Amino acid sequence: MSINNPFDRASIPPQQEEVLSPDELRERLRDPSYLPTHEDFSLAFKSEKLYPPEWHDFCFNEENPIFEFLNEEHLRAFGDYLSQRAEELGASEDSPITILEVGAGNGRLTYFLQQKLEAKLPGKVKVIATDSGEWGLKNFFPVETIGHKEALEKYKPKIVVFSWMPYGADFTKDFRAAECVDEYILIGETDAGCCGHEWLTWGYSWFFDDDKLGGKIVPPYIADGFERKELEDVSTHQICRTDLPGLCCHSKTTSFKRKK
Amino acid sequence: MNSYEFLKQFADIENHLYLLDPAFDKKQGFSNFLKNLKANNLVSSEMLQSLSVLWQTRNKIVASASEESVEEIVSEKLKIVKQNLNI
Repeated sequence: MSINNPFDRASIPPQQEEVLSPDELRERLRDPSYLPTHEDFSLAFKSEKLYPPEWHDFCFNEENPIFEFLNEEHLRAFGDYLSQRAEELGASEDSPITILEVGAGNGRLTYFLQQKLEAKLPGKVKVIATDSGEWGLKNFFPVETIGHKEALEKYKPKIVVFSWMPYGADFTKDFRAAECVDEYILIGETDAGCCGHEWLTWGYSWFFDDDKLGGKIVPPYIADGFERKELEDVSTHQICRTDLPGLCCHSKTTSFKRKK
Repeated sequence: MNSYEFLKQFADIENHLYLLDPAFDKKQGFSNFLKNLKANNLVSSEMLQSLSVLWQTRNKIVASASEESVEEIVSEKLKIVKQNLNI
């Protein structure tokens, strides 16, 4: 089994001062202001079953659905990547760069990302959470209710983040069309998975044999002058609602960067 | 069939299918794995068609913020796929 599968780490002894039972730990994980570690996850959902019902119930909670299980390790790695990118893009206290989160849901990702970035680059990066509000999710942190096109126009971000774009939908055309955007980053399943549109978002097609086509059909992001790259150092820490013991790594963090 | 039961059974299928090509890197994702099965003729075209339907149902369920019920025709397909794979 892979060392990166957090389900494999249930044997790691607890490091917390307070030792909680799995039930108590799962209750703690429902606190939106608590950012858990992989170790918390392993202890809370330790199971011999391939698909533990406790994990399903936790993720498919109707009041607070969990798509991406935000965790300390993932946020630290993502914060490291974004701080490096912010410096490359010339972030300074006088001229902080804006990272816009679209489809921010309850606002947790932006909240923790801002914390990580503030610790690394104080005053140089502003992360803004926005959501259309169409799903009616409960906000636990500040989230501006605004459509993504209006948000792009209003904040003119250098970087856009979208975690778990709705299945079959594509917002990336609008990100690419915004001249201010240097990079957009998608978190979630890629290609023909459950996030976004397989062709319009990912340039993936079940029907095309890439080798035989010889580049005749070009994915939209390439046609628009962007290059795709999985951020493996970030993805390796992710846990999502479809990850199970032995079936990890469904969700990834993928960058689409404008070519110079 | 509720979403938990569907996802539990789909996980069995996913786990089982990966055994058909142990060299495949799971990090590429199940959709790329299906493409790999197709390219290497590791399962029949009928099985691929059924798996594609089940995969799309699984995607709809996973991408939803609320519980989804599974259509009878899809439940039946799931049952047949499991039987054919000897799961």
